[in-house]
Amino acid sequence: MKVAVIGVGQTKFGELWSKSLKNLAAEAATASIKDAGINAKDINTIFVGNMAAGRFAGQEHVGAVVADAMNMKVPAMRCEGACASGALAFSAARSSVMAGDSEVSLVVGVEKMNDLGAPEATEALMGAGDHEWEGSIGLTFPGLYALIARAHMHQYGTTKEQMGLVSVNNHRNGSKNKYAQFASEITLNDVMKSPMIADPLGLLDCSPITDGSAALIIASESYVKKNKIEKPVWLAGYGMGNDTVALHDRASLTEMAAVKSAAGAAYKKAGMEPNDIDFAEVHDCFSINEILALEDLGFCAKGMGGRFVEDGQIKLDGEKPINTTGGLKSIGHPVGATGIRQISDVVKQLRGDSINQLKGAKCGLCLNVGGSGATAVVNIFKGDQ
Amino acid sequence: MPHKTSVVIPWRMKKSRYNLAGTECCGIVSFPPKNICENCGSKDMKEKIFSGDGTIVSYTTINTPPTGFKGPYNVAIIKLDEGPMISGIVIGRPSIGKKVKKIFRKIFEDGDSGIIHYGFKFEIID
Repeated sequence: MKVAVIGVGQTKFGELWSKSLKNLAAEAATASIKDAGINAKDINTIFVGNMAAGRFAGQEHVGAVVADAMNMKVPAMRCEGACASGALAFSAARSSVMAGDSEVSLVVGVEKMNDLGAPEATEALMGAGDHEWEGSIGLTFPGLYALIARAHMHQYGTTKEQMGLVSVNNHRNGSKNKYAQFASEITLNDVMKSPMIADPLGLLDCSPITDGSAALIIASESYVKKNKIEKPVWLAGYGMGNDTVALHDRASLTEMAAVKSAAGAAYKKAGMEPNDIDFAEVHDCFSINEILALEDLGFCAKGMGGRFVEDGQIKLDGEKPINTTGGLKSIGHPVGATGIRQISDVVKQLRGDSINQLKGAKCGLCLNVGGSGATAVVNIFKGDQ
Repeated sequence: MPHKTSVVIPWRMKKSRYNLAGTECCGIVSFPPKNICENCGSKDMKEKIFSGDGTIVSYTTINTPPTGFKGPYNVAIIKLDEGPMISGIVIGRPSIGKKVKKIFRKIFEDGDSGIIHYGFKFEIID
């Protein structure tokens, strides 16, 4: 059974003081229904990606809350896998449509993070790590990725400049994005001089704390044909991978086994290789993670991610354009919404209506990572040719 | 991580946090303790006390700490001499390859009215 994304929508990402969790989810969901051009009554199920509304907004039961905000009375559930919650919600919706349980599913990712102060938000996000053995000793998420970065620099000679160029590229791509939290270009010098958060990662190596929501409408092939839906974008391959929650329990600090297994499964299902991918949305929660992603998705050899970036291969005119609309760094990272926002931006590229439209892009990949690499979800999409 | 209702958590974890009590089965030693042997699947794991001696594999300095902690402080991943790796705060200037040993320290205070959490940190020995 083929599955297509037939509608996308999102809110502005940023510090949205006047908007609540419900406001954001309803705004994105409404936009996706309008974009699909369908009747909301056709939606059979709702899947919500959300990491920590209990900590951030004092609200659990988020599936029902989002359905309620949409005034819809259909089965609704929340999916949680830290920063990969959005892609997990998409996976659950995909399963539901493929199994024939729903013809049309609404997938909403949402996170309302700025109501907490920075120390409390840092603590809430650390719920994505191992509470007993990482959070309890004072580790933070920037700290975990700094440990990965230091090990990668030591093992492969990756430089702070190469990591900085990841942020420069993402900001350049995001500078025209009206939804982005930081739609501005930055220089390598800005990154190098930004205040140290967790050595070697400075402020401009880190994605921000963000409020926002993104939504998708996905549908079965028969629904698409019956309703003559224009420009459906088809799911060509998908995979999920898991690894230990604690970074120190991994065999390697410098590669993500979860990403490799998720990507391997997705390539196999799609009958594709890394070379067949025209562009990708990858999880740049911290600049080093984009470098790991380039390697673990097979876009370059292990240890060569920094060089790949330095050589300009991730630019819009490079061999493998990455995060063509700004990535988590420029657009922002409302954790539960990110995986959905990534898919939405890949869908727009494949429909031909991206803000940075690539010529002849036929196949795009999304990588959403949870925690320091305990959960990874890869989806590969193809345009309607 | 501070958690106002967590008086029972440090009590439950005191053997591991105070004495580095891990597990052993089929010749495989684990710290933190494991629930199930990765080789034979047994839940009947033997206790194994780790020496607390190890080597720094990676490190960072935390400048933006969570609630309950005061930055900056150094955190490292330590490869224990017996094999497993663990995260911990390091006293002194860390670098990759430096030898450390476990020390018993206060880790954080759970606000003004909560309990004081104790556990291990690491001290550089060469």
